[in-house]
Order: sequence, then C-alpha cells, then structure tokens
Amino acid sequence: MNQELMVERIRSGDGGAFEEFIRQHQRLVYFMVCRMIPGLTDREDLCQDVFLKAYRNLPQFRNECKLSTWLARIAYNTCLNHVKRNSRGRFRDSKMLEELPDGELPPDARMEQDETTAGLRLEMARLPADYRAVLTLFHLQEMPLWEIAKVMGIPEGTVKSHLFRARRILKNRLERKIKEEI
Amino acid sequence: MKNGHWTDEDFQRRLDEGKTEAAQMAHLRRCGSCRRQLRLYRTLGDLLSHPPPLTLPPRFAADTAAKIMRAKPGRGLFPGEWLWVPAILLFMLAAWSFLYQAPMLETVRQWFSQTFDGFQPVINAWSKGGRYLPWAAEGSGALLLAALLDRLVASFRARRLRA
Repeated sequence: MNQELMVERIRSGDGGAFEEFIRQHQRLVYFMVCRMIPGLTDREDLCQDVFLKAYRNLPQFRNECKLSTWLARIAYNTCLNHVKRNSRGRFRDSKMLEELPDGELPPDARMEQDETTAGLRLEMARLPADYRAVLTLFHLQEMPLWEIAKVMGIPEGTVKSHLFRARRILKNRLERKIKEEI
Repeated sequence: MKNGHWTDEDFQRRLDEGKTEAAQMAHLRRCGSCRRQLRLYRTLGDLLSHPPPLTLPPRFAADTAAKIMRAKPGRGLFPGEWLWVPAILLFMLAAWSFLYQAPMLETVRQWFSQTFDGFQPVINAWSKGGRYLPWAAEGSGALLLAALLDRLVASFRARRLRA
C-alpha cells in the first residue's frame, strides 16, 4: 500500500490501514523512545501516545514528505516534551540510569549480555537528548542528515555537528572504559 | 590530519563514507595509535547501529489501532468542524444589525453623524436599509455553543484514551 493510499484510508476511518501503519513504524517510534528516554519503564504507553498524536494530526498531513519523517518528528517532540517535563520534576532523565542500582537496569540493558553495549547505553544516557536523537536517527534508522534536520527542525549543519560531537564524546568514554578495565 | 595523525573528523569521515586519502592510509599502516583509534570508532559505529531489543508486545499494533479507533480521539459530536463557519457568519450579521439598528445605539449614531458630517448619507442609507436581527444573534450564539461543546467532547475523548 503506498503512502497516499494509506493516509487516505486511515482518514476515512479504516482500522486495518491504521494497524498496518503502526506495524510499519513501531520500530522507528520504539527506538526513538528507547534511545531518547533510556530509563523509562512504560515505553509502551509513550509509543501509544505518539501514534495517538499521529492519528489526530493526520488530517493536517499534506504528503509533502515521507510519512516516516513526519512520524519521527512527532516521536521526537513527544520524547523531548517528556524529558523536559521530567527534568523539572524529581529527576533528570540523564541521571536516571546513574541512580539505578545494578540490579535495576532498564529491561533492554538487563537483557543485553554484551557488557560493552550495555556500558555504551549508560554513556549514551548521559548525552543531551538532541545528541541521542541524532545518533538514533542516523545509525538505527539510517536517515540522511537532511532528513534528520527536517525531523528535528534544526539546520543540517547543526545535525552534523551534533553527530560529530556525540560520537567523539562516546569514543572518548569508550576508550576510558577500556583503559580502566585493563 | 594534525601533527601527522588522523583527526576525529578523519576517523568519522572514514566511518561514514569509507573514504581515506592515500597519504592517510600510509600513515595508518605506520601508526599504532591511529589504528587503535580507528578500531574504537568502528566498535562505536557497530554498537550504535545495534538496535535495542524490541520489547513491545506482539499485539501492540492491533491493540493500539483498535483502542484509538474506538475512542475517536479529537472527534466531537458532529462530523467535521463546519459549525464554526455559519456561527461566525451569523455572528457578523448580528453584530452589523446591532451596530446600525439597535435602539440603544441611537445616541452613538447621532454623535457619529454630527462629528463626521460627510458620513451622514452613508449612515442614513444603512440605517434605513437594515433592521436589528435578533435571530442572527441567537442563532450564532447557539452555533458557537454547539461548536464549543463539540470541541469539549473531542478533548474529553482524547483525555479518556490517554488515561
């Protein structure tokens, strides 16, 4: 089913088309939520919230960009709002993982057997939310820089510098971690 | 390159584009430090491209679609948002008829015609041509209320779904 047809069918109230839309994009939304809000326990709820916003805003979608770009933008803004809301409260999202005892790692980090990967997750959690979003969209979704710029509403040059700085920080931390282990 | 060694830009370009100049490759063959850094960047690239395990339930798409479609979030009592258009048109008609014909505005009209002599014929023509239309005010009020109620229901449905 092509994009225009899918949008048209969802707008006309076709539940099957909407289910197909969710199935096609659930990984994109889930990865954004996982990477941008690392310690979140109710990820499913936030993913659902993203699809709810998409459904409500679909009448305004003009087919001027890819549906995935448009949805990624909704997911990015939803995650960003969540991070801002929680950072005003009792904890900052980037501190969440640091404060968790070893036995209370989030489900995905616990399931991860590879220590380096889990360690990198912890390091990623300490990066600013924008850096995490760029890394996710570039490495996991394999989006080009111009598309990431569209999703995040920032210039392409800023995306490039976020990507460069984020990877340099992570590489330095990875290097330090390896040295400490030796 | 800086001081003969690869810079972070060089490593990241290599990572993304796979491109390296011949001179840089020659240096890499000689320099253990740069090779170690490149290995680190490669490891990092692999780790970043490694997706986290998907822990959404298998029926996530079906359940979410059903829940959202059933709740009709954002939809009110009436199809579309057409109520606002007649409500605003009627409101403008009521306002016009009120301004030019309502008895209580007689004093204002008199002051206006005395102050701005040139407008007197225009005001006279409008006053004679029209009359106060209370039904327009009542109609627009009713439509505006219905439109507000429609939005309230839509917002309630969205909140209920989130809850």
